[in-house]
Amino acid sequence: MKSNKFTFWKENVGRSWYKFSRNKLSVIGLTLFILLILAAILAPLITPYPKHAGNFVDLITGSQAPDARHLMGTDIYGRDMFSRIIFALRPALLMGIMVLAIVVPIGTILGLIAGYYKGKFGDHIIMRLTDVFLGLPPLILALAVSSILKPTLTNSMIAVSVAFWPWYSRLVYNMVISIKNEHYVISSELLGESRVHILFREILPNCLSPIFTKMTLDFGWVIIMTASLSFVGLGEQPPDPSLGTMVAEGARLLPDKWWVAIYPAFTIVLLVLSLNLIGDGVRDMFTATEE
Amino acid sequence: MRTIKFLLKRLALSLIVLFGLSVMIFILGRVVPGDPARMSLGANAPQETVDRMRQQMHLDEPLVVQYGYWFSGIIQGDFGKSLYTKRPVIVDLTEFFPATLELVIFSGLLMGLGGLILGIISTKFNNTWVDNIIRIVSYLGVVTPSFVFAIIFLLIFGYLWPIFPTMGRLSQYLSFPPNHTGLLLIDSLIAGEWETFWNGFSHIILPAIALALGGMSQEARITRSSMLDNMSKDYILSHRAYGIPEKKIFYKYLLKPSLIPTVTVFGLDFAVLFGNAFLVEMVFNWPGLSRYGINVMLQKDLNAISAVIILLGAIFVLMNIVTDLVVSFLDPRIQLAD
Repeated sequence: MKSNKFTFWKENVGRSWYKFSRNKLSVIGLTLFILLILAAILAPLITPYPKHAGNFVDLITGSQAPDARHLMGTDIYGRDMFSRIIFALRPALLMGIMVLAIVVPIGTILGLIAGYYKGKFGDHIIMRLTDVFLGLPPLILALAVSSILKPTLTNSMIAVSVAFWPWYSRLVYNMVISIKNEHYVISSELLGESRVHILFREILPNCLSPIFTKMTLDFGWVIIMTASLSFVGLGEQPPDPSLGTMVAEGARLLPDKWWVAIYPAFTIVLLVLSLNLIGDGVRDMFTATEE
Repeated sequence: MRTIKFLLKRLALSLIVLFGLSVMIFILGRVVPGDPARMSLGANAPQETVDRMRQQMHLDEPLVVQYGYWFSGIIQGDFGKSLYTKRPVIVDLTEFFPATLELVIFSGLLMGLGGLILGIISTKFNNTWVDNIIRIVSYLGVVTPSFVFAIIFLLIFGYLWPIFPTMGRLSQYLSFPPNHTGLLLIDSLIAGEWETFWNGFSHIILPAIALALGGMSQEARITRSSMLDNMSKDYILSHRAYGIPEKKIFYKYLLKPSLIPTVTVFGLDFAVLFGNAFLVEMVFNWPGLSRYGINVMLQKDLNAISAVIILLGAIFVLMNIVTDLVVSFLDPRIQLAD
C-alpha cells in the first residue's frame, strides 16, 4: 500500500514537472529564483565584503562608481553595493516566506468555514470582515498599519499580512461555494463524516491548485510591497540592508551616483520577474491537469 | 429596475465596508501607545491643560462613546487638527487632494487607452514580431514596481536627456491659474493660459507614465488574451459566414465583449493608482495627497492618517461600484443581482 502511494506520488511529480518544463521561460525563472535563494543563503561566503551589510563606514571609498573591486559601486558610506544587495535578498525572501506562511492558512481556513456555512452567521461575519479589508488598496492598508507600528522587519510582516489575507479568504470562499454541492461532498455528508474531515479532506484538496498558483505570484507582490514600505521609510530601518531603502537612498543621489539606486531596483525586478515566470509554469501545470 | 436594485444593494454593502473601515481606523488609532492629548499639546504643556484637552477630546469616556464623537465629526468633515501642519485636516485635504486626483486621472487615462491600444495591436499582429515585443515589454511592465519606473524616468528624462522637468506641478516662474476645479490642466485651459497648460503638462507626464505603466501592461495582456479567446468562438465564425466585413467584426463584435475583463481590471488598477501614487509622488516631489499621506504617517499624525485613509477608502469603494455598472452594461448576461 505504502509503495503504491509512493509510485503514484512519483509519477505525479514527474508529470507535473513535464508540464511545468514545457514552458522554457518558467524553467529559466525557476533557475533564476534558485540562484537568488542560494546567493541569499551563502551571502557571507560569496560576497566580497560581508561586513558592509551592517553598520560600516569608510568615507574614503565612498560613492565609487562600479569597477573591478566594487562590481556595483559603493554607497555614500563606502559600503560595497554588491555585498549589500546580496544580503538584502535575505529579508526580502524571508518576508515572502513568512507572509505567505501567515496569510495562506488564515485566509484558507476562514474562506473554508465561510463558504461551507454560507448564509449562516459565521459567513456574514467573516466575509463582511474580508470586504472591509478589501475596501482599501492593499498598499495603502499596509502603509496605514505600518505607520502606527514601529518600523521593523517583523512589523512590516504584520502590515503586509494584513493586506494579503482577505484575498485568500475570498478566493477559497468562492471555490468552496461551488465545490460543496458536488456529489462526493454530499456523499461524505450522508456517510456522517465529521465536519473537519469534509472541510479539510474532501473540499480543501480541490481548492489547492488556484491557491498554489496565487501563492507563487503573491510571493513577488509581497516582495514589492515590502520594498515599497521601506522605500517610503516605514519598513526596515538602516543599517540593515533592504532593497527598498537602498533605492530610496539612491534616488536622492541621482543622477551622478546612479548605481546606488539602479542596482537594487533591478534586483527587485529580477526577483519578481523570476517568481512571475514560475507562477506561469505552475498555472500551466494545474490547468493541464484539469483538462 | 434590476439596475436600481443592484445599485441599492451595492450601496448598502459599501456603507457597511466604509463603516467597518472607520471602526478599524479608530481602533488602529487607539492602539498606539501615548496620550493623544499630550501628543497634540507637546511634551512641555502643563498637566492641567492636558487634562482639559483630554476632556475636550472626550478621552475619558468609554471607547464606544469616543467613537461616536469621532464618527459624527467625520460625517461633518471635521477630522480634527493635523499635528504635522498645525491646521485642520480638512483644509490640508482640500489643498493636497486635487493634485493627486489630477495625476491619477491623467495616469488612468494613459493606462486605459495605452493598454487597450497595445492589446488591440497585439491581437491584430498576433504571433508576429510586433506582438512579441509588446508581450515582452508588458510582461516586464507588470513585474516592475512603479517607483522603479519613476526612478528610471527621473534618471533618463530628468538628467541624461533633460526634456522634462522632474519636480512639482509647475515651474517657479509661473503662477497658478484661477482655481475652478483644482486641476491645474483644466484650470489653465479655462483661463486660456497656454503657457501654463504646457508647463503643467510637461510636469505631469513623467509621473503619470511611471504610475500608469504597470496597469497599462496588465490591461494590454488581458485585452489580448480575452480577444484571442473570443476570436475562436462560434459567433465570430458565423459573423464571417454572413459576410460581415472583417473590420466590423473585429471592432464591434469581437472588441466589445472582450473588454469585460479589461474593464474589471481597469477598475481595480485605477484604485491601485492612488496607492502607488504614494511612491511616485515622493520621487517627483509632487505636492499631492499621497506625499502628504507619507509625511503624516512618518510623523504618526493620527488625525491626518485616518482622514487620508477614509478618503481613499471611499474612492476605492466608489470605483468598485462604477466598475460593476460598466461591466453590466458591456455584458447584459452578467446577472446584476447575483
